[in-house]
Amino acid sequence: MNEFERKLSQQIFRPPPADLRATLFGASPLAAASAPPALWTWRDWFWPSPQAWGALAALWVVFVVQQWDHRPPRSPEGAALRGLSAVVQWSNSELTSPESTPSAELRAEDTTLLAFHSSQELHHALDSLH
Amino acid sequence: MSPDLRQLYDEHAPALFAFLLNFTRREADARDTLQELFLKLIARPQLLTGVQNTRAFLLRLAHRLAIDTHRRSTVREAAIERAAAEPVALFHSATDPDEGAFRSALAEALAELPAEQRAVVHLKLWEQMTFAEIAEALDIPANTAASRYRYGIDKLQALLRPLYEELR
Repeated sequence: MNEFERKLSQQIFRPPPADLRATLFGASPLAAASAPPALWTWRDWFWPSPQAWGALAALWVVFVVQQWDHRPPRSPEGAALRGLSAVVQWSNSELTSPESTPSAELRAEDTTLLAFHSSQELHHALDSLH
Repeated sequence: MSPDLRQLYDEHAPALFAFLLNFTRREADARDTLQELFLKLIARPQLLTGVQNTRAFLLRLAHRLAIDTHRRSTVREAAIERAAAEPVALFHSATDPDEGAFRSALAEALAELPAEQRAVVHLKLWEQMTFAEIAEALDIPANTAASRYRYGIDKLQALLRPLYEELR
């Protein structure tokens, strides 16, 4: 520290306002008027790097949106099983009532089923239903 | 209320207020920031647990809060209002007129420095902190602290040289 710096460092700053101490620690301090002290707040948690946390949250949002957009379509296996279930129901009703015929909807599902599955897969699916 | 906080205030508030006043150049901001800092400590005294250098910790906290206050007030107030603000009285009034003139000139010269340069100069000259301590308090590299100090002192010397030479 040279002479000039020493000269500067000897200059005395003004003290804080006299009433501030009383405001903080007086008879009715501001602290008492404020809410009870919280041990932990969200702000304290985010304090060191709010931008980093914000960026991470944004990244998660983008990730979730992407996952939602690229979710797999409903599987053909599921549709086939529903079709099979309908066929079984129709077969049962045939057994109990030979005159009955499948509805147009059941016929359509049946057609879809036969078009998409080999007989081996059909048997396998039927076994799984039982 | 912990009596230690009163003691803490008596020990550190003058230095913190001086730093804040010099950094913000606005008495209202310096006061608000100092008040906010101690309210924080009153609400959460455990913040001081494990702190080794209390003054350095408080100065670091004061610097961060001052930046937050500055951001808020920049949004809140029109720039024209800021420009019209009266120059702040930084130093004690001196009985010696020459000394008084020097303090006024120093206050004006400090106002010429960028805020972050002024912060480094303040911590070095009036808190006798090392560049490593300043770097930690202001979240900057030590080299940056050293160069800011050098630029700041050179500028102050250039601005104050005539008066300083006259007073010697």
